[in-house]
Amino acid sequence: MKSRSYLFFIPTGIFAVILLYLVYWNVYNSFTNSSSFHTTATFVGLATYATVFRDPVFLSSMRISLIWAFSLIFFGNLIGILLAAFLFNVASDKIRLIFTTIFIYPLAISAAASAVIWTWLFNTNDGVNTILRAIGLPPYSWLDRPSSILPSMILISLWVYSGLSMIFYLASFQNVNRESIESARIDGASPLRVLVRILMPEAKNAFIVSTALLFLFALRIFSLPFVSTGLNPFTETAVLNMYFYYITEFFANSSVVSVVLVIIASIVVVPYALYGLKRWITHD
Amino acid sequence: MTRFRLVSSITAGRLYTIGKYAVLVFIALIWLLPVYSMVINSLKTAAGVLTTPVLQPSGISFHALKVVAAAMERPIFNSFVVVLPVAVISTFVGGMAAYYLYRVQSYFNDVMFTVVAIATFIPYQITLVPLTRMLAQMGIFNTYQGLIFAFLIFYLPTGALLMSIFLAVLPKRTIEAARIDGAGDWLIYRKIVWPLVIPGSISTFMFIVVESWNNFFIPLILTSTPQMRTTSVAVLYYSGGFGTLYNESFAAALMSSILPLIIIVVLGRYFIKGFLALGTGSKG
Amino acid sequence: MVKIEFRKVGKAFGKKNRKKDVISDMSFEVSHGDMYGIIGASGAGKTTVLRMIAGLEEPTSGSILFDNKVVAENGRILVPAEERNIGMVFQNWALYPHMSNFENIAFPLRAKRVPNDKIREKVEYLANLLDITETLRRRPGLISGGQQQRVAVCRALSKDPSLLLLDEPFSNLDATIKDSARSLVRTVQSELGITAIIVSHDPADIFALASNTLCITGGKSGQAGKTSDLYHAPNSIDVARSIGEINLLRATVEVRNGRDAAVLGEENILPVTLSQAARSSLDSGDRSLIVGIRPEDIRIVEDSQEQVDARRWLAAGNATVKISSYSAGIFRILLRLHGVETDLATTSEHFLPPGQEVSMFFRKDDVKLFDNSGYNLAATPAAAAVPHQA
Repeated sequence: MKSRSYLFFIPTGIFAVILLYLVYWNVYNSFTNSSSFHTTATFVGLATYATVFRDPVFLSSMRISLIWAFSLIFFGNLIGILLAAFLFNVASDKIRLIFTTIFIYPLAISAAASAVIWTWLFNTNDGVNTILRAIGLPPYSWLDRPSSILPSMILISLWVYSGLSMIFYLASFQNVNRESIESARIDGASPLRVLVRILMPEAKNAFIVSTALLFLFALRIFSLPFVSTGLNPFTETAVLNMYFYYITEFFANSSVVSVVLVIIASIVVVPYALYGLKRWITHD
Repeated sequence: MTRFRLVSSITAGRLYTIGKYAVLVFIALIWLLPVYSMVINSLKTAAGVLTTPVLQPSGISFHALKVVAAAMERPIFNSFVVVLPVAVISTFVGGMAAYYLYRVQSYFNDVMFTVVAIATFIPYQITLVPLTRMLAQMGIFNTYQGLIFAFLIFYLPTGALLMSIFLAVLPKRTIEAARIDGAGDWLIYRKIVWPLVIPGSISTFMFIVVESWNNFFIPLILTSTPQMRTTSVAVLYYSGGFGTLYNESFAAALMSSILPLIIIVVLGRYFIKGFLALGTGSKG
Repeated sequence: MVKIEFRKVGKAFGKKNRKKDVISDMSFEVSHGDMYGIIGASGAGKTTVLRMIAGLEEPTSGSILFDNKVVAENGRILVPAEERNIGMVFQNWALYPHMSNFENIAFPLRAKRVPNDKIREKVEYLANLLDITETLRRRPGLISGGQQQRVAVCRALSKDPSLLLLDEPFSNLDATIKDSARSLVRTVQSELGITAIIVSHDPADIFALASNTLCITGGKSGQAGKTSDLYHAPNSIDVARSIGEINLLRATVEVRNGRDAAVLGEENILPVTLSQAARSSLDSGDRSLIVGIRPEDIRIVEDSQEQVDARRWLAAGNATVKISSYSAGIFRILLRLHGVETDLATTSEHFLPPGQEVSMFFRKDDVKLFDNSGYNLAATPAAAAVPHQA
């Protein structure tokens, strides 16, 4: 009898191959004019790409997706560092876990539910504006004015994902040699100085990971604007994924968008797999 | 002089501690607003909805919850029917793939890791058209099998990826000892590998339960009748709009979030471990 | 019982363009029922050889035979580890931490689907033989290192293997229990009459257990044969060093009083007899060689009047005591020779003060001469005693 270990991989392998097939289908169709209206697709080279790249709705949703992604990366890291720095200084493990749980729980709630909740919280008359008014601040237009919809949506996504960034920073801070922190404290360094001079230089990995994951999650955003503002490609929150849902009747066009998204995501995922993953799981 | 400085530094330290907790508690309160509003608003009566803003409690009535529960019963049942097999298979069968990747190292495996990582992180929306067509051709569109099949395309690789990371802590010698003891792969996997990676498999299982429970897009596109909707999709129909009573929206959000919330409160550590493993390969 | 044979086995690790040969052109044979030792410096490749025997690695080239049947050859494993009927004791024992000691020992039997009552009988027999009956219900993490090692030995033996492999089995034990552990393994092996192979970097393990030994040097078979032959007549410096401590001194061959002599430093002259081949090779090039002498083959004489049996001892000139240290009932002495950079290590039954001048004698039959590449010139020192001062 020979070793049959490979049998163990077959089920997962089959599903991985199906996924590759789905991606391949998109790549293939992106070079055709396939749609609900062309039952027999013909090969058109890059013509569909040209159509899509000239489509103002595509360009605007691409722009919105990128603005969203970069805002999420920038502010998500910022809030993540802030929360991690505060939590790092919490002496009790129990209290730290409670706060960690509070900051991480939005990740466990479905984006659809979050969208429903925040749509109401951002209601101009009934929501958080009642607090703002009560403490004498001017109310904000939130989802009511086109110009404030995207920032409001980004805020919701920050509420969801900042905790993710936080746990990576917190983990890397906790890996820093305690003695070097204590000796800095004894030398009279302020907590801010400890953060900037000792903790942050060690958090390079946390920054890379949190940035990569925030980017990948941003590329997946769909339910939040879909549930909150509906399927309108002309709104200020029509991200790539929605554009794509909107044009599904045009299979080739949607394939082009898929290919674009896969390429963007792969730029992040492939190095992750080949350098990160391989290092973590190699053993002697 | 020294005494004075000592006293002043103690007060400064205490002020810092108080300030630190004040900020943490303040941010935590913002983070908890959605949970707070879910609880108070799902308990409101129609009259309460009309007379109080979203953030102000008014009485306790289970009417809205009862109404929504009746409507959500089927979607919640559907979610369980789909999520449990997906999470069990993804963890156990994904773990088998992880065991194979652990045992055999080759170029082929590097490629497989990349595919598995892409399947885990890809914006799954891109598969919309080919996946729908594939399920229609297989005759499992709008069925439980279809949803489970589609989920497995993404979550089985996720399970394999997470289990690979958690499996990496197994000492290679232990597996070799078992081989020399005459055990085949199946016996080794069940009797040696599985018992030793239980904490990791709990993390993997919880992570996939939460992620697939919350997945909105896949059931949205792969179901066509209300009978087949899952919880996250059902919430969409409470998203509000002109004239909707918000107590029902919040009740629906609460019902769809209750399972993930319980998981995060009771087993939050395992959920966090799942994210840490995905991001940095952390195994502990 | 099984006979193991390596035929021109090579093993390389790494990827195509960065291949590293770990084992090359290795041939040896382990006969039925033998307790065979494999020794070598760390990184020499001995564990790789053991893992190839176990079936955990495949040879890149050559073939491995069990009882004249090929089990692996040229990059392919024909009989996998789980089917070779081997018992193995790992360096860290590799016990299953989540199982009781009983289940650990029973595991190979469960893999063979042996009925429960037979399993109980066998585990209890072995536990009794190795005196660990009381620990069977506990888990490996809760018992001492010595007991863990015995559990590992029981596990290796429970399925009645035809071959027992021991990979540095004593290196993780306290010095105080090493000897009893060695004698236990020896007893068990001879009682069961099983072929066994022990890998170790520690000559103490090899001398205690192995009658025949393979010494691996730099991934090659340095020498194979009786353990005592490896010690007394090593092929090369690497072999000599692997299997015990040896002093190595650079020397030049000159003719003194009509005879060949090895001159050490400025003052010490050692008469030597060179084989014909050795002499011709020395004549053709430079005349330097390396003298090897083990610590116990050096005798120190403080009193110049003391009589030394010239038939067995060879005068090697004077030396100065550099330092004396103490270990296990014996003094360890470092000697300094005039004009020689390396110190000589030896032992003495009593303390010698640093700075003291002594005379040195080398045991005649145990002076080893190596050429500059480290190979034994197979020369024996001259039979006749020669005045030890030039």
